[in-house]
Amino acid sequence: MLLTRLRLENFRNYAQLDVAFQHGVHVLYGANGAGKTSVLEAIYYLALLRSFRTSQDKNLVQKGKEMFRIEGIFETPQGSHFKTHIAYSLREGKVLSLNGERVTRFIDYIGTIPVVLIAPSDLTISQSGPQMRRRFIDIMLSQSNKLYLNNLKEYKRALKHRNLLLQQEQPDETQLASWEALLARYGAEIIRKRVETVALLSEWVQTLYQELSAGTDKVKLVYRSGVKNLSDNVEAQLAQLLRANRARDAALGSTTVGPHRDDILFLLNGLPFRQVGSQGEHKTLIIALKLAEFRYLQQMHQQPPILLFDDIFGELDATRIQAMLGRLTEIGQVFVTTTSKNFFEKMHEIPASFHYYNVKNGTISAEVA
Amino acid sequence: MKALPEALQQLIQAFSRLPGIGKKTATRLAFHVLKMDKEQAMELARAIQHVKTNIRFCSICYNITETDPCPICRDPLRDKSTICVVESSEDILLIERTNEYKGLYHVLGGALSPLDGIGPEDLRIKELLNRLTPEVKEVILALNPSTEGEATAIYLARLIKPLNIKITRLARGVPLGSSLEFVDELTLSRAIQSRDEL
Ligand SMILES: [Zn+2]
Repeated sequence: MLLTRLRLENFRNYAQLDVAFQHGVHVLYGANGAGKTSVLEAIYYLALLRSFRTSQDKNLVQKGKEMFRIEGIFETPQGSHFKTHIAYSLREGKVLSLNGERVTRFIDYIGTIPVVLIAPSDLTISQSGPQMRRRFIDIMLSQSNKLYLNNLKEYKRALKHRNLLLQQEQPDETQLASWEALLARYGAEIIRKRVETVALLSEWVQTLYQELSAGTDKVKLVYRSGVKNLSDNVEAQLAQLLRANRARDAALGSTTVGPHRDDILFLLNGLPFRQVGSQGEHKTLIIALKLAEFRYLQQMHQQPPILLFDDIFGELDATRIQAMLGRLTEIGQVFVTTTSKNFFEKMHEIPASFHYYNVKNGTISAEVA
Repeated sequence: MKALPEALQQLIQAFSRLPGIGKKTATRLAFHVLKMDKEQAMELARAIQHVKTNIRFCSICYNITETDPCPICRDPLRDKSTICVVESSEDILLIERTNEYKGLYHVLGGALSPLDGIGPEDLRIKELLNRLTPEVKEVILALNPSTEGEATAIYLARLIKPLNIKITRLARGVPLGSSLEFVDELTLSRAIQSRDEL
């Protein structure tokens, strides 16, 4: 999938933007706060209908304005074009249209534009709390599996209902059991898909990690769940656990078991990566993990996802980036933001064309090669 | 607004209380009423009055009706052994249009939703259970395929199961007559999951 044109209106610090892109690596360089990341954010929003920097759409509206628009024109691998338009207003929320026709169910749209993002926050994925790791797997699967995305959405909603019901003085037992049965049904589906996917990613990450580090260390990903026996009836176990935890959950005001509390463990030679991994090893792991994500989406969509690198070059040195790009079987479209374009001028052995854009105070100018 | 006569302002206010109608549309509608010929406008007023005075809920199935019991409950040809449970009267309209169903209905008046403060006592669940005499052999749960509809279906199934009545639900699958390429991915995924054995 190629983003051939991006238009923004009142989005972050862009009053108006209209910029054309092509195949290959797009290097957006400029000072901090110039608006480089906002371009990546807009592309990400076109794919997932949400930002990676904020959970509140209103934060994306330019100061003093009522609404923002993002419009992207895409070219499919078959050569046809389509237009995604998002209009968000403080009063009416988000309206999505595809080729001028309104799309009311976002699930039908998400996954149309596969995207992989590497942002500074990803660098702590193997060291921070489990939330980041769940987010990683959820975003990847949401882009490739509608049923997963739907189950996730329904699960989260049912979770809110249960938590609220638990707060009632004397909640109706049958009703509580009904919501739990529903949670167990969706939850088991989510866990099943995650377990299966983590096993696959684990194999890929192991191989990629050894290639990248030119070593023999063994890296493993393990799905860790509150449900004890993942090869047995997960739905029944989950329903039973929910029932058993009612009193504690009521006291805490939240549900303490289920896929929203599960984790993915990263192991280095059998030991927790978090404890034994060096800073360099953590960085190599991230690259291996993101490459695996790229490969997964590439296989599912039979085309390379759009790759977004958000300002990570202070953290991940140029050699690692180069190693990553060099390992992609096919480079479709890549967007990188950086304060220093020098990193990329040394990267020309990567088999892709490079395009440079100077970003300054909400304007972008393409550099003529 | 001060320039507008009081009566017109009242009409605008009344319109703007309707769902999906903002101040602008309400004003446009009010001016339209003003321009209508008198007979037409009176007809509209009478229709509104008529709906409010003559339409009520059927005391058996809670469908909206002008006569109590409603025509469906009174129809001797309908199969009294089957009750189809729906969330709202509109759903009955949809099912009746198919001409496939000959049993009775029961309108719950919504679905369980702790987030909206809707519990079992806010729905006509007790009334449904009271209808489940030995004559009733099957209850069809035709609730919306939303999270709330699903939870309500599970809830009702749990209450009805001990009574030894057959409980069924609407099949979810690929619409017939449409080629697979026009079926949305989610519907297709669900249909594959709940596939039937032949
Ligand atoms: Zn009736």
